[in-house]
Amino acid sequence: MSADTRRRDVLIRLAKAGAALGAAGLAGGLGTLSPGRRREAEPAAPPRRLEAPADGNGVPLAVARGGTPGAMVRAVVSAMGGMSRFVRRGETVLVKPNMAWDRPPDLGANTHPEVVAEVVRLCVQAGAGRVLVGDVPVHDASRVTERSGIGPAARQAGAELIVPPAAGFVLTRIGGAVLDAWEVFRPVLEADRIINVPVVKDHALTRLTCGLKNAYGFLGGTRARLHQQIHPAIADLAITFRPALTIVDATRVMTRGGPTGGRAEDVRPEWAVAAGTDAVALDAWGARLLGIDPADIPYLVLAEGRGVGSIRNGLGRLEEIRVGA
Amino acid sequence: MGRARRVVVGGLLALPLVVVGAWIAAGLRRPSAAPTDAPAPLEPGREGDPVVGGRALPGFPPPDADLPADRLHERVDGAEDYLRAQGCTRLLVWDLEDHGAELEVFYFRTAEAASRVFARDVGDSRSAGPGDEGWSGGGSVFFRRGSAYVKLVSVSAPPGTDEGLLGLAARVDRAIQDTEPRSS
Repeated sequence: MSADTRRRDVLIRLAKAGAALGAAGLAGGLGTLSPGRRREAEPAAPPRRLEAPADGNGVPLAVARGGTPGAMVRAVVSAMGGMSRFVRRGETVLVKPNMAWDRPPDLGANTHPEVVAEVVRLCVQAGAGRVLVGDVPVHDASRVTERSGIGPAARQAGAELIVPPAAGFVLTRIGGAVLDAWEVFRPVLEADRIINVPVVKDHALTRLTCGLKNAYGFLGGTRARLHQQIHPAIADLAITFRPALTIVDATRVMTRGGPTGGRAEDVRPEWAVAAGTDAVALDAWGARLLGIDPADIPYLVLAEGRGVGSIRNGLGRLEEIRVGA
Repeated sequence: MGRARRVVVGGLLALPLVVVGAWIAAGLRRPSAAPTDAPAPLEPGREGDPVVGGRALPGFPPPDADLPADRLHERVDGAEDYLRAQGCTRLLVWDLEDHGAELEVFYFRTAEAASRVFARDVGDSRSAGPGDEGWSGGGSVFFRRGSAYVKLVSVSAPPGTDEGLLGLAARVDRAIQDTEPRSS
């Protein structure tokens, strides 16, 4: 066989390999578009968000007990230096409660409406241009907003209530360890600040849901697909979307049957609210309320390892503010 | 020399396949979202599911949601794997606005499985009421009848009376029993 013949053979093989590669690439591309899906533009990058003041006013978190939910919110935000440290005049603020379940307030499945309303009022007083209260509920959105009490309370306090389908989703580059790109609720991307307002409760899959897990409500799509890798997925979200402030509602704590619950007997009145900029510390504090060692919750350990916050800051003897009734 | 060249050329030819394989593997490891479209339409039950799980309750309106096992997450978000592992085949949901209550009926392959899930939710406490075993209090009634596990929760504020809920639960219980003769 001559050198020319061998070269021709090699070129033919390379051409076939190129064609195979092209076909494989095309097939791979089509593989991301299952029936019924539409081709999306390249995922948008997540917005660069202004970080909260680094020192948290000298304390990692503040805890208040007793009094009304509103009074406790005012006390912890004041201890953190006031809402004007986190919200600037004219900004659009997204207040993100846990507002996912068709349940009345007493069952502890959603954030207490009075906690949400007080956060809205403080944002308005701090000069926010717009205050949005939004979530991507699991149950029917219109029922959830009304039965949770959050919809009426938030509107009365001066917020705009936003739930799907009122605002759409944007395929967004997460670039995390397991979470590559996902549909993100548009207000999350468009707000200048996010104030996370979760409720502490039991969760069937993660044992705890508090601030970090509440970020699932930023997402659309079939979120259950993430349940197989829920801990690293939560850590990915914690790194990508950093709230300016987290205010944890522990006025009543669902101790079992979460996340849906349904039995008042499983709800323990705790009558506490905590706030801070260390989201991991706040979740650690919430875990202790449920009698869980935070080190036993993989997503907390992962988030801490990736620099989101410190478990230790949420433990030990924390100074609590007693709020008069 | 010729053998070495063949090895090199073969390696070069295999490279695209290695790259494509790695790309597919990386994609499997890092899931991307399905774009958010309109909610999927209700699906019929799978063949082989108990018939009782595929029927609405006599005397009640059609359910607001009728979820086969692979769509449980749309309602329970986080507990679906546990429920499927216990043999949950279907979940029917009603928003009973006239009663200010929400009704969920979980169907399992066996009564034992339904009993396990019921016990996990309510613990050791039991109270008089409908079903083979039940619990009620504070605006909710949970009970099991055969392989069906029922959660009836007052969603009105203030919660409806337990007596009212128990009456409604008794109706649900009768309806489930009415469907049982048709179960496989």
